[in-house]
Amino acid sequence: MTRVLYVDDEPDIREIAEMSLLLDPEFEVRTVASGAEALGAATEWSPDIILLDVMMPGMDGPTVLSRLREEGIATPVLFVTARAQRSEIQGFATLDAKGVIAKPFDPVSLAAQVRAFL
Amino acid sequence: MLKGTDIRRGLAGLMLLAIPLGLLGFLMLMRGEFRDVRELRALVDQSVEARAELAELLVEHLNVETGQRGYVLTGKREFLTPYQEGKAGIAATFASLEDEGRREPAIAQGIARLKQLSQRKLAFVDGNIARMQAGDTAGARQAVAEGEGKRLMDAIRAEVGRLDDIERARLPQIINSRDRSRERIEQTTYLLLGAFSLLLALVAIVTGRAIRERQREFARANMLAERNRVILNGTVDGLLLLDHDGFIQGVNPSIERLFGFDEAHLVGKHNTYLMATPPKLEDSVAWLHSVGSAGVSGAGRQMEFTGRRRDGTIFETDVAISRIESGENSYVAIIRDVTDRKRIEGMKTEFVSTVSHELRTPLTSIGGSLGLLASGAVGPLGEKAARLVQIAHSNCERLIRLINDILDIEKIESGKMHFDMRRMRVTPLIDRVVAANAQFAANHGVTLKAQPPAWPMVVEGDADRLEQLVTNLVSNAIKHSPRDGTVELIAHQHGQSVRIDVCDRGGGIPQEFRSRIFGKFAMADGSDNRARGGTGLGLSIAREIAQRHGGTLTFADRAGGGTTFSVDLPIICETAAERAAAKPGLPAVLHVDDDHDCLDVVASAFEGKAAVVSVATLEEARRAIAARRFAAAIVDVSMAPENGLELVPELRASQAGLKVLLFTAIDDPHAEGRVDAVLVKSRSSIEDLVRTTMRMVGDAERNAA
Repeated sequence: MTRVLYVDDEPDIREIAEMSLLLDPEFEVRTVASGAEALGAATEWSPDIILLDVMMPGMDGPTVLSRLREEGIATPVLFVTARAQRSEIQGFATLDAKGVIAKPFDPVSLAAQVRAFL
Repeated sequence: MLKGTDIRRGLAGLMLLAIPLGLLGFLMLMRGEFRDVRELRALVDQSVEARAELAELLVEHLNVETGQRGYVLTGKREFLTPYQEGKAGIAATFASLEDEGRREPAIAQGIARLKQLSQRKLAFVDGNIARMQAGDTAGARQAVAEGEGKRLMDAIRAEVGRLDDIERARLPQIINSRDRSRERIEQTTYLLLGAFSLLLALVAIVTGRAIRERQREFARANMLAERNRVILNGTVDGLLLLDHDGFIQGVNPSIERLFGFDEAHLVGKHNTYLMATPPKLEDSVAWLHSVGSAGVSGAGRQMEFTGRRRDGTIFETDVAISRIESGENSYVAIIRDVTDRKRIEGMKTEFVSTVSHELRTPLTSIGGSLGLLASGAVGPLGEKAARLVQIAHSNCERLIRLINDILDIEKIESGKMHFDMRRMRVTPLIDRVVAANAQFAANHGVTLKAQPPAWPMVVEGDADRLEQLVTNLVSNAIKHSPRDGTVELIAHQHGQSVRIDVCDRGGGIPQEFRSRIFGKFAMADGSDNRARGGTGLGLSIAREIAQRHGGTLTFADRAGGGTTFSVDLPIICETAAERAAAKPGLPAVLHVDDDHDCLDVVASAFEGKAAVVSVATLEEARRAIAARRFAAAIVDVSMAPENGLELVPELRASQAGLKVLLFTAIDDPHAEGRVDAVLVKSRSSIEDLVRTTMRMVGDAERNAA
């Protein structure tokens, strides 16, 4: 089983993302609502991949990523963003993110997109 | 051409010349008149003198007569004094009269007669005097008494009287002619005065007119200068007047307001003084010299620079520079503070970006829910429910496309669409577009056929944007194709460009829509749009992407119905060395052939197997051999005017173990023993060539190992 952690402050999107990812029978999915919870889940649940919303109140996606790396957690990270602009994407690459998934995502192919980065 | 002012000026000059000439004429005339007057006066004087002399002559004769009578009657000698004096006077007076009287014959004759009478009289008197002195007093008295002397005297008196009459008659004549002369002078004077007055009046009028005109021109120039001054001083934009090399000659008050430097401080400094990061002076001057005048290329040249204020703070500016072409070139730079505009642009971008984010977040939920429902992943739906979900889902996707397109347009318009330009081959681009649109084509029951370029063409571009461009054309073509139709995607060389044609068999583009097809929200008609689900922004974005790649996007009717959209992108010519360097680890193969098509086909056939360096001349081949090692060389024989066989010994000598293949159209080049293999173009395929070459290269490597 592959553990996928999905981090987003929007509850509706969390729900849809979970349902979409679960279309892949090999995926085990957990969703959290903030950067702080994501840091906790990353240590305690040790996911195989983390999907991080970029714009979140409190701690944003890039901050969560650098905190993870500071704590020595090397789990691959994909950013999920509604601002999929090139300059931002290039910035994410230097932040050691594996890739970017644009919002709105296609629910049917989301699992396949994630699998491509594993 | 003569203008009115020129004519008037010439006239005024002529008149001014006429005045001294007229004056000179007048002077001559007056001198003549004065001479006449002087002569007249002399005549009058003469006449008066003549009459006086005649009177005197008479008196003198009377004196002589009286003296003679007195002496004869009394015998007193003292009577001889008036006689003698009279005689002397008569001689002198006659001398004077004769001198003057010569002019008029009547007077001259009179005087002659008078002289004759006078002589007779004097002879008679002298005779009597002589008788007296001789003592013949009686004879003398007898002679006196006889009255001869008196008769002579009367004759003299009568003659004098006649002469006097003549002289008297002459005077009015003289005076008359004098009056006539005076009248003539008067008339001439009046005439001249009149003429002068007229001339002066004309000169005054012409000069006045010229002066008035000049005053008007001066006033107009003043007005223009004042207007320009007000415009320059009142304009919000800063204005710099630059000399030929860009040194500041003058500024307007806005410059002082923008930069904080006063005019006195700036004049004489170079314009780069106002820049936060000044370029090299010579670069700036060279750039300035390349600026055309406003008349030549619109509003001159525009640029942006970061300005530096006196207090060291910086701000963004837009500058328009125009050349003033009169005598020594100078320039006007109009500087606008765009801080506010940039801020507003930034706010707008931020706003659009935020709004799009805020829209995308709920759309993610809606689209996700509908997508999951429509896919049947969460269980089967009733027929009507499934249809409704499908409608909601497709419209949600359309809304998402619309937002993406609006963002792209916004980026294009604000100049913020960035292009990550890299050298890329056209074939993978075609492959990606086909893959991305296969499902969409299938959904529309349309067949998508692709024909990649015949040889590996390279363009410089942003792979994602070019894919967006071609995908846009392909999806348009699919949308407008009839069911069971075919959309063709063909890449080929067109002049110096790669042309990618997207051909459909749709209904074509309505004539009235053609002129605005690339406009924003351009759609043939509303109903069409709803049927096809487009945003009306796709072609506008597509053309912008093509143009930003130095290319074009055009369309044309297709023979037999339908439309072809064509993207032309400039071909980048990779040098052979670049191509070889791009594939490390592959064996290097030199291909010498003067047929460029053959070079391309062979290079393409070796792709992934060998790094082919393609050269078209023996000279290039020699340079390539000198530059690097090759595992094999494929050489054409007939390369008019050169012969490829010439190269063979050089290849053998320079690179040991090199395999040499002849690939030629000549059936029997008689090269056995000199080369490793001979392949004739018409008998061996390109695949044979690749196979043979790779086998030989493998042999060479094994031998080396």
